[in-house]
Amino acid sequence: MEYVHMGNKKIWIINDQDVLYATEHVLQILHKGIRLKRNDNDEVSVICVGVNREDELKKLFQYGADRVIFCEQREGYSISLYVKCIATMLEDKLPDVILFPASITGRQTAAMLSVRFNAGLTACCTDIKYDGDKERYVFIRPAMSESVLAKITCINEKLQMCTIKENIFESRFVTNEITFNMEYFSYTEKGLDKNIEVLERKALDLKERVDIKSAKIVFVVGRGMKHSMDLCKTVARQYGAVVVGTKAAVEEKMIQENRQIGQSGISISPDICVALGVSGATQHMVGIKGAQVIIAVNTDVNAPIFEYSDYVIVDKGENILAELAK
Amino acid sequence: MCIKPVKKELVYKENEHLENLVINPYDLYALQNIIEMKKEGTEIICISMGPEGAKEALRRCIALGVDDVIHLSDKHFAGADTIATSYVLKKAIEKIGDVDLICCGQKTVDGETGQVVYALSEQLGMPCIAQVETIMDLSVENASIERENGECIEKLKVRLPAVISYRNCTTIYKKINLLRLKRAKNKEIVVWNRNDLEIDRSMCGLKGSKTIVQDVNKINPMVKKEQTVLDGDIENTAMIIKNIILGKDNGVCTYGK
Repeated sequence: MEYVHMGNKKIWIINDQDVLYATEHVLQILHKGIRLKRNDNDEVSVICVGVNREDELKKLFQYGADRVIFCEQREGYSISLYVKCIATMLEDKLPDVILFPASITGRQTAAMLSVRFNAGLTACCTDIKYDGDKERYVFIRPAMSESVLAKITCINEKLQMCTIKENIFESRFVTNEITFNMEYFSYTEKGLDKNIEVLERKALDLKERVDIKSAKIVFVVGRGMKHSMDLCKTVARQYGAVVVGTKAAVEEKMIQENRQIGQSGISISPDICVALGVSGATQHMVGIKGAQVIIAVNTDVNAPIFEYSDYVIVDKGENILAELAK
Repeated sequence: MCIKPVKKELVYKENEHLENLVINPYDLYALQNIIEMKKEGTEIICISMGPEGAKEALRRCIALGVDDVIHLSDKHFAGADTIATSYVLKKAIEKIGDVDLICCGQKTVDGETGQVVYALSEQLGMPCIAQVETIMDLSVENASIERENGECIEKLKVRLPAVISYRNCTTIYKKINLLRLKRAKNKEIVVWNRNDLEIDRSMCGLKGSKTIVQDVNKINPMVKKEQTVLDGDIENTAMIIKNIILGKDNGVCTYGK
């Protein structure tokens, strides 16, 4: 059998957790890593730093990892320690491409390592392809309020890196017949990091979280609805709709920030979107692009939102709400 | 405070502001928070790498209350990715010297990478705290900071000098002092170029970058739809909307077909 060594690609997935390694996010990136393999000589490794949890590590193999490179760190875990561990592994093993989760830890690690190793880094990719002619990876990401897709490649250095947000790719279970191909790596910190001290850490209140992504019916409010929020909430409750809003609505304290849609907020795809007093500036429209039916209510006959809506009502939002309340 | 000027269209509707380049909303949020924190004896300096129009954004910073601004401008700075950008910012910060806290916005609304803050901390060899909600306390040696980290709220104490970025953004200028703005209009803005910063050409702009944009394609633009104008009396209009929401066909509604 011919053994091809030259040109093998080492694909690394960086795990951003220190205990529960097999998160859905990491498994999604892992599956993408596997799809980037050109043949069986390319190898996908998941890099884990933290406590030894065999059950978690096993799951990584079940989801297709060829190898897990593991560096045990039981205490004194900090971002600088984490970055140093991975940096030392990098120097030792020289991967070709590294995929990071776009979590805070993942982003920070990626950006710091990219400077340290002069490696090109593309943020928040939505796809990665391999260009066989030029022997490089092509990183694809949306930019300018999701109006364009940019194809980005690395130049000047061999190492290529990117971060990937959650739910961009799908995870896929591969097999129960696994080989525990673990590679152990040790790194000992000389002196603890005293630059950052954690004074307190508490989980965000679960009640504050709203699942606006899966809402079927939404009312989107703009600044124009400032004085009718009570009515709006009542009517929304009546129809089983979730109230979301534009950045302006957040700034006017009409809605909580976790209900903000648009460029700096969340993109949603409800069945029905009732836009009340929303002008329709590009940065808001990005957020409701996926809506099946858009009903727009605005006093301004020239409001840009009308062009993108199915139903147009030139009126005050509160007048319509008052009728709907009956 | 590091500021990026971005195209006005990305932030405001037409004619709302006169300048073509405005302060990136994430930077504006960070800047206004920092200005509110300002104590006696604190000096706030804004730096911005960008084209000539960046000067206008920097003038607004003066009007908002910063003490000084520096425009980092050189034709060789163009085309910079996060590595090349953070290198130029590092050189400028080192030239200013004796800086205690370096502050950025979470990301820019044009590039949207959110990487510069981390890259800059690595360039400077300083600790980095991103996603800051509030600075609770700022002393000579430390800053106590509250930040959001995934599903946690963390209170951290960081040794200075440090690099931080605020999480939030705003498009509202809290208090532009018109007198200051007028004065700022006539102010000669300090410009530092590649030579002032002793930066080799291979380290900045496109040459210093490790990524390059191969091509850019327009994608899924907002689709203009054929509209049904509901201009009957309001009871009728409300009834139609009600039916659409409840998924009932009423002859006008196309939903669910």
